[in-house]
Amino acid sequence: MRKKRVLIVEDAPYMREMMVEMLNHAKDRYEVVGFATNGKEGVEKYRELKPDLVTMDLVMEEMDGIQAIKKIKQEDPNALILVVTAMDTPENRNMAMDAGADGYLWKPFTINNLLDVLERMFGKDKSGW
Amino acid sequence: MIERGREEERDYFLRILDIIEETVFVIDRDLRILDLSKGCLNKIRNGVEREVAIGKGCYEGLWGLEEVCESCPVHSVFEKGEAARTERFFSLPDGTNRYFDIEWIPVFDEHGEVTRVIGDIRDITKRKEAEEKLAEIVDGSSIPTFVINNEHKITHWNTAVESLTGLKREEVVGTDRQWMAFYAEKRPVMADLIADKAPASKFKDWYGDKYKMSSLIEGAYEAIDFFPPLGEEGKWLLFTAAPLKDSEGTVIGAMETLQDITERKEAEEELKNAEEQCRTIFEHVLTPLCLIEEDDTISTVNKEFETLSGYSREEAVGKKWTEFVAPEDLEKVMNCYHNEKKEELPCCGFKFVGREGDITDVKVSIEHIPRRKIRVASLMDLTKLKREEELCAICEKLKELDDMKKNFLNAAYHELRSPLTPIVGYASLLKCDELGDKQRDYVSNIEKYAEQLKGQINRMLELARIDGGEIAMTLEDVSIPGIVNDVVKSFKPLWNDKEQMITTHVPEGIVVRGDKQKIIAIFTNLILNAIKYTNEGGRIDIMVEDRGEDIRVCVADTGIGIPEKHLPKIFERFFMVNTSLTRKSESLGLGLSIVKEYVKLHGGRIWATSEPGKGSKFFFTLSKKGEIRGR
Repeated sequence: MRKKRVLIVEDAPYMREMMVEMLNHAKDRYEVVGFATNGKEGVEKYRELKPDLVTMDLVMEEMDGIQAIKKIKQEDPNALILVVTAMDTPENRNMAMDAGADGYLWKPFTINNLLDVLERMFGKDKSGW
Repeated sequence: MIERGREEERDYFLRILDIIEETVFVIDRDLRILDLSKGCLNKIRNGVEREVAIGKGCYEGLWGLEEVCESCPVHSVFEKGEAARTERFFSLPDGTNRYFDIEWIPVFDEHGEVTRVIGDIRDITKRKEAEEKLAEIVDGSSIPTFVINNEHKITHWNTAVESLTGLKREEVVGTDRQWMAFYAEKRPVMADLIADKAPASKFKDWYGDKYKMSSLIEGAYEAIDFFPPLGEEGKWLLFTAAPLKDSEGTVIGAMETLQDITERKEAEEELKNAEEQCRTIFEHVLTPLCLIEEDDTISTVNKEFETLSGYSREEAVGKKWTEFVAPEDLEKVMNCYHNEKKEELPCCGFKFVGREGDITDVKVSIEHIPRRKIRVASLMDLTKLKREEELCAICEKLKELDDMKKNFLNAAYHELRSPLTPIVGYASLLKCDELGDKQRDYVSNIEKYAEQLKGQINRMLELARIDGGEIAMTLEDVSIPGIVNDVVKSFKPLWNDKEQMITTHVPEGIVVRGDKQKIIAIFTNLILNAIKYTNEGGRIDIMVEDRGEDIRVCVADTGIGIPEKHLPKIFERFFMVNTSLTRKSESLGLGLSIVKEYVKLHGGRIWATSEPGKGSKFFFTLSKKGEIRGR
């Protein structure tokens, strides 16, 4: 089976590093193909790389995660987007869902949490909610 | 015999005619006078002998006319045998003008034929003149007036009453429809009661307390009432009805005058309203006020003045205003008091002396009301003002601090959570590698305390959101037995480990309308605390009581207990019973305060009882109706 190509949109460098480390533990399944440090860059990278999945932080400069999700979904309704955020409030969750996000991961999380949600998103239901 | 008898009869008759006062005469079919009373001659043809009149036609003999009067009913009396009556004006031979009321009475013979007619004359000149005079007065009056006679028939209805009532005199004169102008249905008007010489009780029946006896006209009554049928929006009338009497003092009718006082009434009403308004303002204004009479005594004070001075109204009234001024300020206030310059309101500050000799710094302004020769003093409590300003500033500051706290908590939440992410994340990565038992333990500890920190941060945020009123309630029917069982089951590893016994007493099918997640959180928190603070082999009882309107839950343990002095504080934020407890178990600082807020959101309350060393009981109630208590 072909490896799933992942784009990480996240402004904190240590978060990007850690997520790469975690995905490296499942190298046979996932490949990190690129990074973006804000929403705007995320949209551009998506156009360029056409990844299978995007992990999206919500609080970022330039363009926030919600705007970026809307933009990407508008251009490619089939895009798979996983929201990764520390702001776990019902309002944030609703906003992400309304924008079209396909899954939600709450910081802090363990490697198992991350791999579980990815598995579900690429699985039968295509949902990480 | 017959003739003789007739002679005698006639003799009697003549003698009667001689002595009676009445003016009576007898005529035959040719209208010739057969006999007439002496009174008749005296009253009508003064100085004329009876013999001169007898034998002449009645028109000539009585009135000195040459022909029978036009439309005289006497012929028809002879023909029909029915009595008749005429009122007629005569210019008499002696030069006087008179009105006479003549009644014609037929006299029948044995065949039933009318052979004679008796004329009975009454001089009604005075009455007629009086009536004419009355008509002149009534019709010429600009005051709406009408007159009725003893039979309640309207005899006069002037132009002014026409325009007041809209009823024309042609429509009403000669009828008894005077009520029509004023009432929707037939009833006596005041003139009717007067004409009937009705007793006071009758007036009361029809006019209640609105009528009174006139002080000006004897036997007259007056009243003020509102008449909706008049004009467009009804009118207020002052109406007076007086009896009309003839020269003998007999009541022959009544006259009623009406006065439209609507404008006056409205003005009175307005004045009353204005007065009441003034009184209300005076009473309720948040400024101490008093009225000072010319002799320096206080005549009225308001509620605020009572509060300021400590005197009741009754006590304050009658005191001199100078009693309220500290001696050292008296001169200053006196100057202010006597300053009657119009341009600016005299005003000054002084020390106000209250009932107990207490001093308040006040400012006074004194307004003169020259026409009533009184002064209005309005006072301002400067001490109170200052205190209020200070309080406002404190409130403002507290609000600021509260906002700051909320912002801080929100920011802190994000900032604290972010570094936790790599700690938790890398710890989980570490476990993916080959580790010795010791290292594995270390990682577990890192994970455990990171988890604890996460919980604490989450509770902080929850409280910040409760404070900000940002908590949304999702109402649904929540099954309590289900929740209790689920929560107890989810902690089975914990209480199994400690060999504790948990029993539940929950009535079946008990349902509460509320926010399921929050109710779960309440049970979770209390049950988890009970497990934590109860030693191994202890016992925990969960009892739910259906009380109709609400449920009462008790979570009882046989744990370490809480000292009595701490009981009232355990639901406060950041409170921990003692440090050793904190070290032994996790903090309950924020947990119980969140539980308390959740219970409050469900219209319930929470409390605890405890015996240190024996155990604690936590009680809470939840309204069944999903009642949300506003913050």
